[in-house]
Amino acid sequence: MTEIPIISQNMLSSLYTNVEVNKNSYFRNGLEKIIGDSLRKLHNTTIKQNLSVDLRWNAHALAGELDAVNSRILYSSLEGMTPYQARDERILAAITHLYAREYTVQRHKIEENDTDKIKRHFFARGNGSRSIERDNSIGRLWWNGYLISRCKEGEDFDELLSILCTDTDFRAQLIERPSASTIPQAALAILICKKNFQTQEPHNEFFKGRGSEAPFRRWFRKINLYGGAKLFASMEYAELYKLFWDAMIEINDRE
Amino acid sequence: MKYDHNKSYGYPILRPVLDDVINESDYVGYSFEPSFNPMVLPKNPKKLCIEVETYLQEPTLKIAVIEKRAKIKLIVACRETFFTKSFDIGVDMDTVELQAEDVHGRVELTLFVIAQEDFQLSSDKFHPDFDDEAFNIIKGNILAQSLTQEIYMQKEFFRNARSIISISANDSLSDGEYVVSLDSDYIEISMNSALNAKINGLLETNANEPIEALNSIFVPAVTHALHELNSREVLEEYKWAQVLKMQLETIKNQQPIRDEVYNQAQTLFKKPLSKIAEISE
Repeated sequence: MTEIPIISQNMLSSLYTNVEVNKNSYFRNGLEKIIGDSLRKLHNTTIKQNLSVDLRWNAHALAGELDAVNSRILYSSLEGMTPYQARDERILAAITHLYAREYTVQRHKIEENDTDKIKRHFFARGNGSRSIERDNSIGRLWWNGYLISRCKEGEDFDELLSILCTDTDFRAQLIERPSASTIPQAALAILICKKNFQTQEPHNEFFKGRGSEAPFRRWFRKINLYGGAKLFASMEYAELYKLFWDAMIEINDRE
Repeated sequence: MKYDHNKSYGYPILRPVLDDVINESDYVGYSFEPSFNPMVLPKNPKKLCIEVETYLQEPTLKIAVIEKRAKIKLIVACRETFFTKSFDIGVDMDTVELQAEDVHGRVELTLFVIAQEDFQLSSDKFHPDFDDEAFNIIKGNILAQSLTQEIYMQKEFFRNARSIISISANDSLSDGEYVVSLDSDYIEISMNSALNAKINGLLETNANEPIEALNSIFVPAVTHALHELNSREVLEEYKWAQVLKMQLETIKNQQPIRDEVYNQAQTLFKKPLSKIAEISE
C-alpha cells in the first residue's frame, strides 16, 4: 500500500501537450521518469501498489462485464479518496499514468498512433462531466463503484455493480439522467427493478433494443417525466420502486 | 428532467414572485424567497454549513408546517458528485451540515414545502381564479417551492464572506471604534476587549437577530476592503480578496449587482438594508 498520487498542474499540462512526443512511453516503458519529481501524495489515502496487475483485460470478454469486475477492483483498491478528489484531473491522470497504463491501453484498444485516444482515456478534459465519468479509464471505474456504494443499502455491492455495468447502454442511460442517478434511493430502485424483471422474465426483450424506441429507453424517459413532477429526493425507496416498477410493467405489457 | 418551476399542479403553489406581479401569485400578496447562507468555517473546513432562513410567511402553509401536516425540505444537489440529499428544516430557520468533500463545483439549493399527510388545503389568500375552492392534498404533494440557488464548491475559493473576517482585541481603541487591516489572508477587524467579547458572543449564537447587528460591522469593513482591492492590485494575492471576488461572480450569475462597492458589500451579506425595510413595515 502507498498513498494516492497527485501530479502538479504544470506537469499535467505538460503531459497533455506532449502526448505526441511521449507516445511511445504509453506503450512501452511508462511515464514514471517523465513525471518524476512533480509527484505528491494525498494524505490519509491508500492505493494498492499492484493495482496494475489486479486490473483485468481480456479481448474476448464483454467490455461491460470487465467494467463491473474492474470497478470493484479499482474502488476497493483506492481508500480514502473523496468525491471531491475524484473530480480532480491531476489525481485521475496520475493514477491512470502510473498504475493503469497497460489496462487503459488494452481496455480502450488504443493503437500506437492514436494520440486522440490517449488524450481521451489517460486525461479527463474536453468533454465536461463525461470526461471523468465515461472517458478517463480510472475515473469511470471509480464513479461506478461510488455510485453503487452510495445507493446499495442492504443489497450486494458486486451484484449491483454488475447490473449497472454489464449493459453499457443501460449504464449510460442511468448515469446521464441526474434526476435519478444523483438520488441514491432512485438509483437503487432502478437497479432493483432491472434485477427483479430479469429474474421474472429471463428471456425478456425489454433491455435488448438500442433504438430510441427500445422499451428500456422509453422506461427511462417515463422516469424522467415523473422526475419533472415529483420530488424524488423526498420519497422513500419503496415508493420509488413501486412507481418505477409499475411504469416498467405498463411499457412491457404494451409490447 | 428537472422539476418544472412554472408547472401548474391544479392547486395553488407558493413560489417566488416579482413585486409587480405579487397580486397575481397563487397566494395573493405572498412570495416564497428563503435565504441560503452556505459557509465553510476555517475551524472546520471538512464541513459545509448551510444556514437557511425560510421567510415562510403565508399563514396556511406556516400553520400546516407547525401542525406537522407539511414539512420544509432543503434539497442539496450536486451533479458532479452524484450527490442529492434532503434535509428537514425548521419553520423559521435552521442550519444543516454536510461533508464538504461530498460535493464539487456547482451545488444547487432549493427549499420546498411538502405535504406529510392527506389533508384539505383551503385559504382566503388563494388567487380568485381558484374560486375559493378547497383542494385535496395527498402526502408528498409539493406545496411551495423556492428558486434554486447555485453555489460553487472549490476549496481554494469558496468561503462565506463572513468566514474571511477575523475579529481581534486592541485596547487602544474606544468603545464602538474599530480598525480594519487588509494586509493578511483575513480581513482583520480589531476593537477593544469589551466589544470584542460581545461580538464573539453574538457570533456563537444561532439566533436571527444578531446577524443584523454584526452586519453593521461586516458590511462597512467589506466595503472598505472592496474599495482598496479596486485600487491596490497587490491585494489580490490574499485569500480574502480571492474569496470576495468569487462570491461576487457567483452572485452575478444569479442576479444583477450594482457596481458601487457599498452595494456589492451589502449583496455579500444578503442585503441587510432590505431586512430593515421589512421591519419598518
